[in-house]
Amino acid sequence: MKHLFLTSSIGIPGVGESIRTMLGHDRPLKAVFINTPVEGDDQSDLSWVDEERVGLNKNGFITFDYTITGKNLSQIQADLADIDVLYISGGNEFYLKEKSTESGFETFVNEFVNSGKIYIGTSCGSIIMGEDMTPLQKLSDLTALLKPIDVVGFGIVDFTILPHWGSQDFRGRWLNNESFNLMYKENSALIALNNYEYVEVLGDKYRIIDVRSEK
Amino acid sequence: MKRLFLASQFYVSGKSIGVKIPDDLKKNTVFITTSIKYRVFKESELDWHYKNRATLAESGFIWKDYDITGKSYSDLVRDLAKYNVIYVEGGNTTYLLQQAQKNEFPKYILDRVNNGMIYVSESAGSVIAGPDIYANSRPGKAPIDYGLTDTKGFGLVNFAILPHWGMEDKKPDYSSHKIPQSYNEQFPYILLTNNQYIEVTNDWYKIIDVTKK
Repeated sequence: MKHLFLTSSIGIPGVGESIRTMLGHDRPLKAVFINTPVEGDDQSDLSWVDEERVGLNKNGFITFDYTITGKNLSQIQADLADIDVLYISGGNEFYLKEKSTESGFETFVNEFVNSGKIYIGTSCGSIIMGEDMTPLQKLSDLTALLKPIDVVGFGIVDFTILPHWGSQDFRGRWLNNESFNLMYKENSALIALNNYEYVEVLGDKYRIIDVRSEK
Repeated sequence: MKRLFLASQFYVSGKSIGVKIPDDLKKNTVFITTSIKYRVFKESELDWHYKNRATLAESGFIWKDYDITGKSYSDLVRDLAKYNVIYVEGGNTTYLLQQAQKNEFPKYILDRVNNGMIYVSESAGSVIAGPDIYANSRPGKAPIDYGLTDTKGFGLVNFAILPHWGMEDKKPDYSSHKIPQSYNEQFPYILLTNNQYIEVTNDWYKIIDVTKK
């Protein structure tokens, strides 16, 4: 059965702790930290990447960094054969999709998730699991990407997450006409998720956890 | 077991909902009309409402209408005890909440739903099922227009629904009011098109799109 944790930001204190509690794992879990989305993002301040890593490591997810850029499917399958947890970081979801198409990574993700192993995503890593990334086009820099932009997600869940909703840092990106016009369509359901929430997916059902209500 | 079916536009998704509720329960439904009682409508303005009624009938629901306006808590307890399913119609969420606050309908409905009464709704009825209605308000139907200082919903679910997402005629409301009003970190918002509804079973849910298999 699919088991996913789709966060807005696992670097927020309480999010990783909550996921650990949900899983109840009593041993360290080997987790790959797919950092490919970071390559397509602004490189000027990457402190948030460290915060994501800390959020995982302090909760029993022992990470090692890995990029799919330049890899092929058989390499990815061999390199990640013994992981317990697949984690995809925040960053540029359209860049990630481009690299996934080049490498066959999406096939690996589908096989991994459908085997019942644990998937955790943050921001881009949560968005990419949906069907349609059209509403997110204002969120990430698309200038260096192949055109037309591939806006189709992995389709593992039937909704699209709008991460960091309500955050002052993202206010300008969400509350503008261009972003609104991209979002305002009769398409996949949209879940506007703030930084304190995550979606737990179990099979074909899900729930939204607010870690502030667990204190 | 807690069960809810929260639609955006019931006449679009109602048949899909109807097949998920046992016949013997559907035959014992109360239809809460309060959200369309805030003013007198011309018949032509209620096309959507009559379509909802037709969809309920086609889906096997048998119901009695009920307006909570002017009722006391003990009236609610007495009048609604016999029903297995409650259908809360769309309309004016703010007016519905105003009337609900007068007789503790939120407390009553929370208790009933937690004890197995099936909650079916569209639009206003789905909005008010959530933690708060404020994001869905607009000028003329704002809390201040109805003297409300507390905009808490029934709290049956932990997310707020923004219904009719993507409808061209609702676009100005969303652009000018509902999206800016929902841009906060209070709770999650689910932006729901008319083709979708949320099926809730206890703490878990699914979003069903009736245009997909």
